[in-house]
Amino acid sequence: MGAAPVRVAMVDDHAVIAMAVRGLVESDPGLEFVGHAESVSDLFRRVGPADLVILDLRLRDGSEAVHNVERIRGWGAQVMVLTSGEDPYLIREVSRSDVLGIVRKSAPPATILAAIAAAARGESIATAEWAAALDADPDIESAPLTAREREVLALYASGLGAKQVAARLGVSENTIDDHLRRIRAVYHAIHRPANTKVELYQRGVEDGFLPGPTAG
Amino acid sequence: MNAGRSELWMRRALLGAVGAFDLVAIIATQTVVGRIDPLALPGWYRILLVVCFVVPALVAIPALSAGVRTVRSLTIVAFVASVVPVSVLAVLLVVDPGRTGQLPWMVSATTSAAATAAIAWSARTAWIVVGALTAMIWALSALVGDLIPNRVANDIQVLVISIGIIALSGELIRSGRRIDEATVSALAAAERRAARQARQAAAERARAIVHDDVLATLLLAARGVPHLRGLLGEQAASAAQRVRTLAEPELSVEVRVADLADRLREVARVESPRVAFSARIARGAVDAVPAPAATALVAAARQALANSARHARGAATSLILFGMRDGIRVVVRDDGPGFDLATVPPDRLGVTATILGRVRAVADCAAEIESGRTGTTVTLGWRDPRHPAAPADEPDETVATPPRSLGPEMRIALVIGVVAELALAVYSATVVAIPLVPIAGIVAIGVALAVMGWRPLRVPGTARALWSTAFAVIAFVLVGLGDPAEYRLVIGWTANAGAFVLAVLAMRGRPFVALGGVGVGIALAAAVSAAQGVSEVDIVSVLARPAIIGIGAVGVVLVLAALGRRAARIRADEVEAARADAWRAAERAELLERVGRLDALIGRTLDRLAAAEPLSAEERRECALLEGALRDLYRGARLSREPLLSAVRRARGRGVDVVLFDDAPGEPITEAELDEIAVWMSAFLDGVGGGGFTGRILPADRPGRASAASEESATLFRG
Repeated sequence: MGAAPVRVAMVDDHAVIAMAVRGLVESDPGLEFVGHAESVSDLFRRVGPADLVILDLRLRDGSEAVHNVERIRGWGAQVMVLTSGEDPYLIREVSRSDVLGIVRKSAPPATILAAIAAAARGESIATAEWAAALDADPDIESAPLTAREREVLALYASGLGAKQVAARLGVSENTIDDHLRRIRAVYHAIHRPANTKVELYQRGVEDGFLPGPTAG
Repeated sequence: MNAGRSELWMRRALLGAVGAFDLVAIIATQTVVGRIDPLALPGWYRILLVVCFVVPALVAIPALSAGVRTVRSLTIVAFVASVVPVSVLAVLLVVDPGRTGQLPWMVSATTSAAATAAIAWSARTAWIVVGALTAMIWALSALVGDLIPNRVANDIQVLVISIGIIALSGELIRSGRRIDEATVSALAAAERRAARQARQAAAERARAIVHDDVLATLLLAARGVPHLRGLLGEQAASAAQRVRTLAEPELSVEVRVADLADRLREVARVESPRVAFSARIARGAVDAVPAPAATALVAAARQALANSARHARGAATSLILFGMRDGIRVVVRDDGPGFDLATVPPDRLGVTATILGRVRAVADCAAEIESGRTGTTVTLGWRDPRHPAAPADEPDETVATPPRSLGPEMRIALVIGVVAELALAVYSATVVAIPLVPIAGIVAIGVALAVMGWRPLRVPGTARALWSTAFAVIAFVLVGLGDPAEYRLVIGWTANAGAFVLAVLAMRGRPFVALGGVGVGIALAAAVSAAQGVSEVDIVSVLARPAIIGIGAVGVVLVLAALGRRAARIRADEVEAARADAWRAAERAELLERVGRLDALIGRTLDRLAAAEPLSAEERRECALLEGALRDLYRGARLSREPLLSAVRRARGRGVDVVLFDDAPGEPITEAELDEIAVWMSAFLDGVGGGGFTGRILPADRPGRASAASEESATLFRG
């Protein structure tokens, strides 16, 4: 007996988009579409438990994507974000939250399905939209990224995929994935709240600005 | 005369002051101010005198609500009335010479002529009028043997008052003119700002509709999923309707304040149990809010709470709804660590873009964020447009820049006033039995002015004002310390000089201290005089003028201040009304234009989709092209130009997934360079056979200006 399919739900205020995504999801036997809601509150009320929620970046109820992500993560599901082509600020904002990836709605269906499948496996998804938004963020200049990581980000932002970036830099795809993971972690750490001096110290250690505590 | 509203009010107020002054003067001279040796004059002349002094008061009444031309005509009537007594007397004395005695006091009242000439024409005319009248009065005085100390003192003081009135009138009229000019520029600025904001808001509304409804519809249509055709048709119909009704006014459905409170309470409950909600509704507060405003305020409050929860974890947060007579205010406050808005790069102004932008895009709404070490406060508000404007949130552009120094007329008036009082002191010292009194008087006046300070446009501090008043009061009291037999010899010039000082104090912003000084000065002077055995009639006749000067000056200051406040309120209302009109006009124009463009671009396609019929491959391809073109406008608007536009269409037609990014939106790039990039990028794109393509304007400080990448290759544009 195979593993249980990953339960996928969608939050989008356009039923027709949800129906289209539902068709994609149901085409993958490893995935199960459990429901669609027009808002996160509606999702909690009407849709049963889900392992992965595909979230529209901008909902008409005025809710903030970052807040929606936090609520869904608190609910226990992973989040993948779909975007229609929003301004980079919103993408940056949501990139700092606990999302697996940001995918363009207009991407080819196969690309969207592959992203959903990867997210269902808990993998992070790197796309040109995500990379371009981060690469153009003025704050990235002060982030503790290595020159190679900045190079990977810039190449990704230009539209190249992992395989092409790896080929250009003469490294393996796994190395590129490692760089992307680190970029994601560093970016996620930017602007974390540091309400106390202890938290500020912790952020410094995590970002490599300060040496970690040593034993003895 | 082409006066604005404030200038007109100033002219009306000045004419009103002239009327009131003349009325008080005629009553005082007819009741308490007597003469020792009056000139024998016919009865009809006495009646004429009274009539001439009553006329300005009578014309001032209709002038208070009259237009520019009428006010001027009425002022000229008052002017003629004020020069009639001396002119007729001159004729009378020439026709029937040989009379001797004191001229009537009213004849020498050149103040009304000075003021009305300044109001009707100009300060220069008023100077000429005063000069001519003063010369004529002195000639007449000499003709009838009236150059006695009282006459000299009186005429000098009247001259000083007249000069002061000319200077003050000129200053006030100029001030009104400055306010009018500032109002005109403020109206224009408010209209420009409102129109700009309205266009932005309209553009945002149009973009939101395209983003929320049109892109999704076209995308799904391009995918051609048969079982979704009905649903797609409904969405297309809805999108088409939203596009075509974009320029129609939003429904003005209202939300009751009580319901708004419930919605905010629910928001607070959902966001965090730590948020304390309270509603503070004042008596007589508005009971309903337009639905768009209520929706924007609730959404912004929700975002503010979400921000607070993220950035100020653990902090105490409150959400308060204030209901007021002129609107409502929603305040979100936390005591967590704040941030310095000024240091937030424009690129990261998400808070501004979401909370402030959303609220400010709605008519009559405002939003502000304050953040600092002690926490963050987000204030959201809606103001009832039917209610007079509250103090402006933005810098008040309607207030004229105050003059940094006195005008030349004021300076001349001050110099003449000081010299005249000094001359009067010297003259008094030579004619009175106790010269120490006028000497002490000039010292007291000098000290009072010195204590008040020499910067004429600065409001004196309380201590300075009180000390200055004390010395002015001493000048009042000195009236009673001379020889009682000479009590009316120079008609109490020290008290008049003290009153001048207090008048200056009132005009410099301390009217109530000055009023108190006049009251105390008059009372003490009367008491000292009575103790010296001076008769009540003499006391009243000597102290009437300083009382009129002091109280009149304070009255003028208070009336002008009230008028100024009223003018400011009306100006604010005018600005608000102009802003609202400009907003509506610009928004509608922008929306109509966008509706036209959108309808031309996608209307036919949406109608076709709304029919829910099967689409041909060509139609689906057209939908994909439209979706791509609209999406490019969001993320790469500067790249949407030929020949790249055509290359993108061709590429999408070949099935290439084209994405355009402008990642240097704040960077100025010349049109020529953008054209070069478009040519370069289109050449690359034409060589892409399939898969994906990303064209990107790079952020500043990169090795190239733009990049182009397909799944096979990537290249940089270096210019």
